[in-house]
Amino acid sequence: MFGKNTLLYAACAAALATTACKKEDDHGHDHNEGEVITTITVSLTDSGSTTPRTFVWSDPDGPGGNAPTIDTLRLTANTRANASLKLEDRSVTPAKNITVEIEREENEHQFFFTPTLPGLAIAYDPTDFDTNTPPKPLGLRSFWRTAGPGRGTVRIVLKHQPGIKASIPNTVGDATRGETDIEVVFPVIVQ
Amino acid sequence: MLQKGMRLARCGSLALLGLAALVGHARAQQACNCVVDGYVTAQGRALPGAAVQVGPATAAADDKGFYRITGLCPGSAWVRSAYTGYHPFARQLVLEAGNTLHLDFALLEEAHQLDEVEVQGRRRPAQTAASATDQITQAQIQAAAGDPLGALLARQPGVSLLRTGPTVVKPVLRGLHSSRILILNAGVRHEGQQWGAEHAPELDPLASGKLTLVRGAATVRYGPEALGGVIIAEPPALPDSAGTSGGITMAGASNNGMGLAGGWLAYAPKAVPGLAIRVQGSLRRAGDSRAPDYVLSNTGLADQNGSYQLGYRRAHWGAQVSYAQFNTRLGILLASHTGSVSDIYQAIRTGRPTEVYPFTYGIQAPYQQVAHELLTARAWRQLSTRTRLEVQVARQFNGRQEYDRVRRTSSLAGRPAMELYLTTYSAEALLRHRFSQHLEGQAGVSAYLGRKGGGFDVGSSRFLLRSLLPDYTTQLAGAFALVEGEAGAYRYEAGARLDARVFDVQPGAWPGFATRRQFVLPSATASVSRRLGQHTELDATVSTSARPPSAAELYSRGLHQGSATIEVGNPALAPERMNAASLGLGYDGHHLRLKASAYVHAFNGYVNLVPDLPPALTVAGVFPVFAYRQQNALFRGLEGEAVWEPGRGWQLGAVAAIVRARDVNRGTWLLQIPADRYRFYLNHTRTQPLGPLHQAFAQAECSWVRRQTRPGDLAADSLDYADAPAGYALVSARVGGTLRLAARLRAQLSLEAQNLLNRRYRDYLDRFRYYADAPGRNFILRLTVPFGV
Repeated sequence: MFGKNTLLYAACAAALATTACKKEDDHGHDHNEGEVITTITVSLTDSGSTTPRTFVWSDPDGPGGNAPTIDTLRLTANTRANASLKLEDRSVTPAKNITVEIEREENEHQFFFTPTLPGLAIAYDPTDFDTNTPPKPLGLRSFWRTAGPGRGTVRIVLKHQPGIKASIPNTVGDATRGETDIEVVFPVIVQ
Repeated sequence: MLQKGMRLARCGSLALLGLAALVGHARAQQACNCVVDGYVTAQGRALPGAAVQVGPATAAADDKGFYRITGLCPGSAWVRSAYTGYHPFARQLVLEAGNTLHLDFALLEEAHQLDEVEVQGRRRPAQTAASATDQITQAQIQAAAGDPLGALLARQPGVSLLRTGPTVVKPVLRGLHSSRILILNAGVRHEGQQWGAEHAPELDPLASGKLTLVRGAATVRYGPEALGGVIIAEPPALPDSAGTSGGITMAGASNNGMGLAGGWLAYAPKAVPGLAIRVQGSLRRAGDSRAPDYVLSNTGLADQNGSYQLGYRRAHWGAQVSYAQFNTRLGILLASHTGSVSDIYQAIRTGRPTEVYPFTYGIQAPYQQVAHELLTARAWRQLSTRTRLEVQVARQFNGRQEYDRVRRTSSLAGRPAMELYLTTYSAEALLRHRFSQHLEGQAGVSAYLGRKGGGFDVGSSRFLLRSLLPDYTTQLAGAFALVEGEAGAYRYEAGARLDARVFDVQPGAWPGFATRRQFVLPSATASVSRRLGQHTELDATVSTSARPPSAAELYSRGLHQGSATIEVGNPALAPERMNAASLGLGYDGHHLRLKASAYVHAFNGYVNLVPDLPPALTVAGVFPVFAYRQQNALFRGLEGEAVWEPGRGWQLGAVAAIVRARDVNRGTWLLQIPADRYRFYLNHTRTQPLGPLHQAFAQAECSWVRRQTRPGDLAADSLDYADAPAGYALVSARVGGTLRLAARLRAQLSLEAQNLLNRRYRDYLDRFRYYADAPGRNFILRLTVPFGV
């Protein structure tokens, strides 16, 4: 007959057999490094100039901590400017350039610009289109044209549209589809 | 463990059974008000129609295998249960005036070499009064094979479902869910990530032999998380007799191409009486669900589950080791994956998902990958005829990884955006003592240790820096005592419990706050029930329970991707206290059965996520900020079920549940409270064979969910993104029966149609209601073939 001890040993052996191969400790405290876009830099080069002026939207501690700092875009009335965007993760050292990743995946990303200022028009740079057929704008580079003086905002949205972007029938894209990677609003003053 | 006073009765000789003609020794001078009830099962399955005879009275088991015989006279009587193809079973018992005796029969098929039969005799504890508990048998679990745990429970009054699309389903009891509902699996507190509304219970219903639902506070017996109720999953009983038995279950569904295959095998060697082993496993795979108008892309799932039990049992002691593993991958609707609040509003404006692809079994990001493991060892010993000791130790591991859609070039590509690992050890000892015929007590101590490691590195791939939740260690120790007894027409129960819980969080999680929090949590309960006449019973319960804040409520800080909100924990939270009172009514007449409960749950310091101004400006736009605050809240509700049995085999039933929940401080309705729900059903079971089909049945039901109007529409300061969706009614039907394939081989076959009219609807408690309709019509074919060798 089985004694009580025999059974106890059997139970322990069974317990060991099922736990010995567990591997969750391998994960230990191996925290994943979250990747964030902390900093968006808008470089504006006025026509006739070669020196870009930079404006920064920055939230180095990520969402939910301290509020971001946002520069005011300053433009000259009745002029044209070339704009380019740079995205970075400055929460790591050295800062990580995410613009490169967006360029690499240009076929599923697109920037959208929505100015609220009358007369401010923003157009995609035709040399900054992706390799979809037909090509669609990416938006890292754009042309800005101002009218008279005024104040307002420019909303810049980056959409991640995997598998969607190529199928959008128009040439300017669809800001309502895909998921939002970036949605920032810069104040604008045109003088 | 609910079973009380479990006894083994040896049925010495089969000849005795044949003789077991029923003789009742009625004592004329005493009132004939005894009741015997219980379940008739065979190998864990209900035996509807099985005859039970006590003295001169007879009854047939219903479709759950339940029987109840009332109006019996005190004294000694023979109880006998019989069913064609099974060994009849009889035993003598003593009925005491005014008592209800609970007696379960486990019948054995005739072909088996019978050597012992288990009889569980126990009084129904007063706290788990009939009005507050429901049981789901193994037959019902198998009849719903392929449905998630929550869907199985949702047929019971007072239960609704919190969904995150078709795959993630959580039960809601009386408006409470997540950290306020305890799941007890194989006697062990289930330790998963139950705090998250999009974290479904990590449990395979097919691994369970019985599910018991306890509505209302059960903290005294089960600990602080049982504040809103308990779902008790018990593994199937190991075989009582030597031999091999087993079975297979298969199911296929039309809507999402779901296929399920499961099986179990039990063996008890003749050479070692009392030793038994059972293994069980199931595989499930499903593709995209389909709403009436479109495919719900990326809502497939894949499960692999398995379990074993090894037990040894003698007359006065026994021990059992059991292990269960649960693995699932759950696709998350592509259209629901939003990066910002604007995306949510855009999806609501569009009215239908923008990303719809052809049906596929493939699961892509976003998806959840969840694993859960439970290992338990328990032993019991009958110290004397009146005293029983049970001890149990357990280890659990829970791992959850959530994958997000990220840029392929991102450093997170192929890695989870968030992961959490939780390992828990627990131990419990329980002593039961019968002081007298009328008074029984139990006392227990429990302890557990949980450690969250790994890291809940939320985040979004795109813009999160911090963990939503820091690493922590938590310890819980508790002790309780409960007595229950009877006096005349009254039964009563009273108990008290004290728990202590400690949280230790990694330093630096919340600068300026203590890394250790300690909570002392007293709970108490008292209940009384009284019989009124032969058919009616009234019960009343009052309780006070305390729940410690969960780790998420204390320490979360960051973006909660699933709800696109920034959640801020509150390390200063105090325990939440619930003072509850409930009244129950049970009526059990010849043709009518009725049960109903009314309850009031008054919360002092109800922990709730409330909007916290101002909203946070992030790189992905503006996110609302929600902070955990404590308020006073009042839950009131009614629930009930009425069943009318006009004739043999016919059942007409109605189930209703109504919950109202107020935030007392703000004077507003609480969000995410179930709308009023009603269910009507008509069942017919044939007593005569229908061609080759035995026990043929047909069921039709209509479930009606009203629109949630508290609050229903978006006010200017609303916390919701959209108005509550319209109410809806769904029709479903089921037909089936048992085919006799060979002398000892039967196949249970059923065909079910869910949402038969292919109705478009969205449910208020479905988090995907902003994005897409719920699934449309679904036909499910199920087959179970049990066998014994």
